[in-house]
Amino acid sequence: MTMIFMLTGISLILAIGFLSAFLWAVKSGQFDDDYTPSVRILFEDSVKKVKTNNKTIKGNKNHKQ
Amino acid sequence: MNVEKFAYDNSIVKKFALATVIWGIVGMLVGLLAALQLVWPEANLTSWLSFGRIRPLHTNAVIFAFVGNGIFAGVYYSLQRLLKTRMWSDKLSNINFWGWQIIILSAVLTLPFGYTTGKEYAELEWPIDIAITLLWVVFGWNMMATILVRRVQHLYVAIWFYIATFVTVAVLHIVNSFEFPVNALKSYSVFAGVQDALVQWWYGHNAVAFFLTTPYLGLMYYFIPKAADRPVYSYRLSIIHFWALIFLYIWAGPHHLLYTSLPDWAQSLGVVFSVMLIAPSWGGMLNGLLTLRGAWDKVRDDVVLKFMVVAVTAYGMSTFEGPMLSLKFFNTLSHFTDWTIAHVHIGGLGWNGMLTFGMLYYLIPKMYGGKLYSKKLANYHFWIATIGILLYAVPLYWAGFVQGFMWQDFNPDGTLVNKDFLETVTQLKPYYAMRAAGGALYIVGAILMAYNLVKTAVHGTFIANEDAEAPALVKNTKAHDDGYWHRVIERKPMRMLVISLIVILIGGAVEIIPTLIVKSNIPTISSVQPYTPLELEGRDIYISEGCYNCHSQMVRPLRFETERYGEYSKAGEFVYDHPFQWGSKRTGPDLAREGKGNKLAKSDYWHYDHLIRPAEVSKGSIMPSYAFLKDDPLDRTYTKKKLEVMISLGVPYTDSTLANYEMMMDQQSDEIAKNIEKDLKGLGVEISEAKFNEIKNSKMIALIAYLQRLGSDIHNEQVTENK
Amino acid sequence: MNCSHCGDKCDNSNIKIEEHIFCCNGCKTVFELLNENNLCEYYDSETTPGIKIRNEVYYDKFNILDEPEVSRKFILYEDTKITKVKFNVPQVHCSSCIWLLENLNRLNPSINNSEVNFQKKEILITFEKTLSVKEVAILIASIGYEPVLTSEVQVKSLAHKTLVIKIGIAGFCFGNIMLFAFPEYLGLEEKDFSKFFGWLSMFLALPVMFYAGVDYLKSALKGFRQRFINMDIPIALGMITLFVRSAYEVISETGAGYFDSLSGLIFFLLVGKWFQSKTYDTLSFERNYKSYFPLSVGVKKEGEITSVKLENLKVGDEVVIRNQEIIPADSILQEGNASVDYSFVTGESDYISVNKGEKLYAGGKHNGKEITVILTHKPDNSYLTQLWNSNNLSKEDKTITKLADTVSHYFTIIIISITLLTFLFWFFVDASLIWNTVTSVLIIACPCALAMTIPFTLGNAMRFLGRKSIYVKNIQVIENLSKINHVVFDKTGTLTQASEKKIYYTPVKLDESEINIQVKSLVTHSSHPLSVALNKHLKSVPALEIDDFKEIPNKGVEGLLAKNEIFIGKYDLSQYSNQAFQGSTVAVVINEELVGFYTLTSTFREGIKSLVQKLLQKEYKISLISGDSEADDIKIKEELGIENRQFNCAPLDKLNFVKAKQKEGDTIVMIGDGLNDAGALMESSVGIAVSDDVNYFVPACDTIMSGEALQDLEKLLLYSKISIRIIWAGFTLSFIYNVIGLSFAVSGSLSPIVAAVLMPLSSITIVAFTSLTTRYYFKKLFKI
Repeated sequence: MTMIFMLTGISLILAIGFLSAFLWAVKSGQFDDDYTPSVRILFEDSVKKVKTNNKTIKGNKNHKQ
Repeated sequence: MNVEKFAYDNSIVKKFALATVIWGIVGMLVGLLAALQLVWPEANLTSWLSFGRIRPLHTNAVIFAFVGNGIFAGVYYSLQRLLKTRMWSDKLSNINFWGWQIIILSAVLTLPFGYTTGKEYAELEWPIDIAITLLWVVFGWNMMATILVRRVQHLYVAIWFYIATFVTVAVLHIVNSFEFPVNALKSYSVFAGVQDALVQWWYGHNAVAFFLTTPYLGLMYYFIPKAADRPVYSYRLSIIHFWALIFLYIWAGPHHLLYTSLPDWAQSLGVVFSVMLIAPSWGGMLNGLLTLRGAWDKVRDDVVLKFMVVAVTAYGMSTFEGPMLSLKFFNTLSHFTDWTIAHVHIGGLGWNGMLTFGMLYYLIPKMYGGKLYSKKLANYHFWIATIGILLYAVPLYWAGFVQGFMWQDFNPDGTLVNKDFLETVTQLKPYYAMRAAGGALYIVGAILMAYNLVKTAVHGTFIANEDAEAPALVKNTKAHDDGYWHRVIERKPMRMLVISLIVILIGGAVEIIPTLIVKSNIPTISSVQPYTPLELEGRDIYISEGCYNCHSQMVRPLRFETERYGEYSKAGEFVYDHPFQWGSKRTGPDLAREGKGNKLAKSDYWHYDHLIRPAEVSKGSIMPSYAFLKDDPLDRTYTKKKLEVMISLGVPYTDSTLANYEMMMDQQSDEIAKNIEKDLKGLGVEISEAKFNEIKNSKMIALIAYLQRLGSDIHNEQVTENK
Repeated sequence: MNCSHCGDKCDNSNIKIEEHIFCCNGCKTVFELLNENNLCEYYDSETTPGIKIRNEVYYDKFNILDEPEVSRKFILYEDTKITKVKFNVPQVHCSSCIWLLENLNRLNPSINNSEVNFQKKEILITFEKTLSVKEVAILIASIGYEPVLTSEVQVKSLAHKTLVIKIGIAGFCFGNIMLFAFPEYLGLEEKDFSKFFGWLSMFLALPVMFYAGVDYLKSALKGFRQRFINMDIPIALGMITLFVRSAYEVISETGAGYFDSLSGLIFFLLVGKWFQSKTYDTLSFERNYKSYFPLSVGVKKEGEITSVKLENLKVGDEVVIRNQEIIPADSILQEGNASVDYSFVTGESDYISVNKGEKLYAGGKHNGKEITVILTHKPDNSYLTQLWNSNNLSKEDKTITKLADTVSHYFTIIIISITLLTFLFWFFVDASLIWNTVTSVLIIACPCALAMTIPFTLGNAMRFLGRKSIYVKNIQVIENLSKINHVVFDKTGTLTQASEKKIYYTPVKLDESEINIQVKSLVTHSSHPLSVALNKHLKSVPALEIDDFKEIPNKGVEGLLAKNEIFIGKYDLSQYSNQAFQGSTVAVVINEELVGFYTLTSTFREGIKSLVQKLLQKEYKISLISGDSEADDIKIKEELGIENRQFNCAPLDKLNFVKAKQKEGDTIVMIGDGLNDAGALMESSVGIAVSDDVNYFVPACDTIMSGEALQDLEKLLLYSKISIRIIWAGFTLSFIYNVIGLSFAVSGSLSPIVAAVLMPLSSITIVAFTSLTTRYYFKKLFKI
């Protein structure tokens, strides 16, 4: 079953690849903040047609009811 | 430096979304055809529409065309927004799109015509395999480059899932596609028998893991929060669950080979890891569902969320069922039955299908800057699809139990209750009919969606480039207190990717070369000899007709199997099988002991007759007729090449064989043809010289030759174990 | 009606934009600002997310950011083009906050990027050199997120990160090694594989041993050097034996080794470490006086005002103190009249008026027009702050000998002796088995479960207590709490609630009903604490328009209502002292004659009485040390029944009191809230700071609890005791496992599988046991 050696090897290398990714992520502070990003993705960053102040106020009023 | 204005590329998303819908419907229709063929064998209209060729087309279409395009659509949409940047290169995006469609087309143009490698879920022939590899690299290249030019420092968890998908699928595909070409459309797997099986299922399982699961988890983590407008239940959990999944999944392959000739411990290992997988999988499911906690009112009137909920629930079910099926206890019963089919369709229709639908209902209106054309229709779709899934899965589960138990049924006197395999098949027809109905419903739903989305598009105005603005990511700011390694962050993902790929490939090569040179240390059986040239050709016909889709070649060491088929299969019997043909489903009986010398052995004529009119020969059989095989003359152009390739793969064909293969083929086919002629005479049928030659030189004879060889070597001599 | 910005009630407010009502001009301004910049999405995801703009922000205070060495403290990165700063903004509370703060560049294009960390309440802002740190601070303050200008910018502990990495590596290797060990477990090994896997496992075990687990080896070595037996010595012993023996087996091809157990052991230990290292990101237990005080102050030199860093102030400097600024050091008032709020110091939020030439104490907050003072002390040896510099105050001797050490001490001795006995036994019986048995003993003896009992029990306890807003600094504190026998309270702000006042009216000429409208109409316009209290007291009463309203510093407020001259505030009430009232009084004077007066007395916090009774039943000693006058003495004696009371205590007296008692052998928990308790808080075995807003000024201490949580003090003490009992139970459990294992070991029949099963099994049992019991008792005690 030489194949076992091969697959073990490949899987292991792959796994080590992921491990190093993990290490990089932790080191580079990717996971320092494990809450805010989940909120951040909810914001729409696409530019709105600039509304007149009145409109915005109305809009946000309607929102409240 | 100031706020940067840029635009999201929606047109590429639109293209992929469109492709998803079209291929989805096509793939499902093909599936429906296959389902109908199991109820009415007459539905096997022509050779190229016969079940054996259609089923691979169905699996490839739904997995790589439907889900594949779905992944691209979702990734191209979410990635841009998560990273606040346009895709790195529109050119690459489009190459990715058109390339992928061409690959799908080439699949449509090869599989029905019998051009296949004969390895499940990897049937496409070597030129297409190479194309896939290149395309996949294009996709990954575009994705990683986009990550490099991002405007957000943090990589949202979804992106991790995308990266994992890319890297792993690349490796799996490459390793499993080591083939030795015979000609432009024919190749042999470099691995043989058990080894081939192991690689195949290592790939097969991880294809499920990394093509049907991880990318969709990524999509789930983006689209559910977006649709529900609330953050994911626990972001920390999502991170932990990602890494746990990644570290475990890769190992779970071997459980697909329980009770096969794979070494016990390798099997047990597969089991253990499959079971361990429950934890991370359910982590994902719970996280998805809990995100909607306290928002069920939203779910009630938001159709997108409805689809998502069902999808995630289905994911939970199948990730619970999977590990369960990997336990030997359940596997004994479930394996080779329709239970497996039900299981994968809960995943396919439920998880992948429903999530894709939900995603599309979310994407299209957004990209057309309007509302969905009809919420009502969408709701109908939801209910039709849900009912469709149930109507599909429940009967098949039942069919699985019924058949599984019938196979195991023993009389008090120790003989099988259902000696004739056919009895266990005829039982299933009603279930198959219901399954077809369920599938049909599901398709109706999909068509409703297509209409609904088209209408939405017509009423809205497409925003090809969605303007957005975001401040540039501030580069190389090295903090003088804690670890803000910005510069590193900028370079790392790309470097990491490249390195890991190179390492993997080198590692792969290092591992493979010995396997090719070093004599594999499977206990060989001296009596097991290479196939004769004619049998080899016959085997290729067996492969290209996709017989493995309904017939296994693996007698498990279980009493009810040995009782039915005879001696259980040994690893040593398959050393010359490039590729292995163990199969994964028994719509028809196992063929491992079909050949001469076995108790199931039948006359050449029986096979001849049976292949022409199966339904008459064995009453109620749902096997399609292969009459055309007796009309098609066997093409010997590549026989010599095939033998040479086999030699270079380590199959010990002698020079004399190579020299006299024509003669050998003539002899063997003549013999078989004579037997058939004799039996025909017995039935009072005279055939002309011409007719005789026609039969003799037909594909049919080659196939019969192969069938008669199956599992017969082992009887010729005593088994001699030598490592 | 609610304020459109912050959502506060504002029924009769006339501050409006179209149909939008605002409680105050502050809120209105912010709304306008956002509206102009088209940022009104701010109000979309949450209704009225805004932060109430309490009396206008005093931008002067940000002037100190002009000081390079001050602003440097907030700068993470700087180059020729851009600057990157990090601020603490405790006001962040919802997704809208995140959205607004991350869109700062719409308010000011020179800001390139801003990133919020919600849990840490931090914001990272990158901006162009055209802006100054000060301007940025002012910008975010102007929209209600006033950055905390203290010297400490929280630095993410790298130690924690490394721990996570170590866990990752250990976990990864553990998983894979286990995988390779499976053939072994299942007895299905095939020769050439077990060899291959053996080497692979060893290779994988290296990083576990020499990176992930190295700390245990180090600390063991340290302990060894110091002749001090700690828990890590048996652990290290076990690790080394595991490694050496496994390596030997693999190399000599006599077996598969115990690498799985080794990596598992270290993995579990690290997880335990991680579990106990829970920290409350937003809280700081280490604040010293510096965090209350300005980083630098304006000093007058030849009429010039230059800002000088706190450290560089000298006695005799003329310091300018603006409205709402803190007095940096003891000093004499030179110019202007000060009205000082010593609430940081005493917890009492009354303004004390100080006249020219009188003494001002460090820590007071000036309220009113700019004043000039002359320093009599340097900031660091002021009346209050000298506490921190008095070297007689040492953190070390407060920690009682750790449970873990005592246990591991005996444990180790036992193990060593067992090992020796085994050695001797086999030496005489069958010498060939010595290697096997002795190593086995050391492997099994490795106190993994033992080492996990404490972190998991106390770690859980910490987390649970956090839910009741009792924030414990670290697990050691819980252990100390369990040994407490003497509870010492501070009065104001601790037993009593500074903000909540009991108010009753004593009529002289008119009844309350006749004057309440006048009073209400006046006090609504004043921000003086007493006015605020009265305003609250009369919330149901409508307010009328007042003509020429005046607020006379240190006296009161006056105005015209219906031609009547109304004054509310200080007045000579000596003749009424027969009504033995306590607390502060506010006279109501109409047209120069006294019509009646209000008496405001501070009230006890809710549940204090029952708390004190419970504590007395449990036979805890209770003392009260207060900085205030005996005013409330009788009340406390009668209502609470605290025998040992001391008043007019200077911070140093408090500190010395605690010292003295501890000399007498008491183990003291000090409960206080003010800067003046800080010394005592630090000196006592456990110092608990009570605060109604845990994000704000809390003196250095071991535990921070919210006001409401104080009534659970007695439960807290009990819970800590229980936790210790749970630990003991855990110990017994793990000992049982050890004994079982040892029975295998000494007889030389320990197989890798047994080790591999026993070790995780014991650890998991411990984790389960401790988690369940701690949870059970928490729910039982705190009734959730």
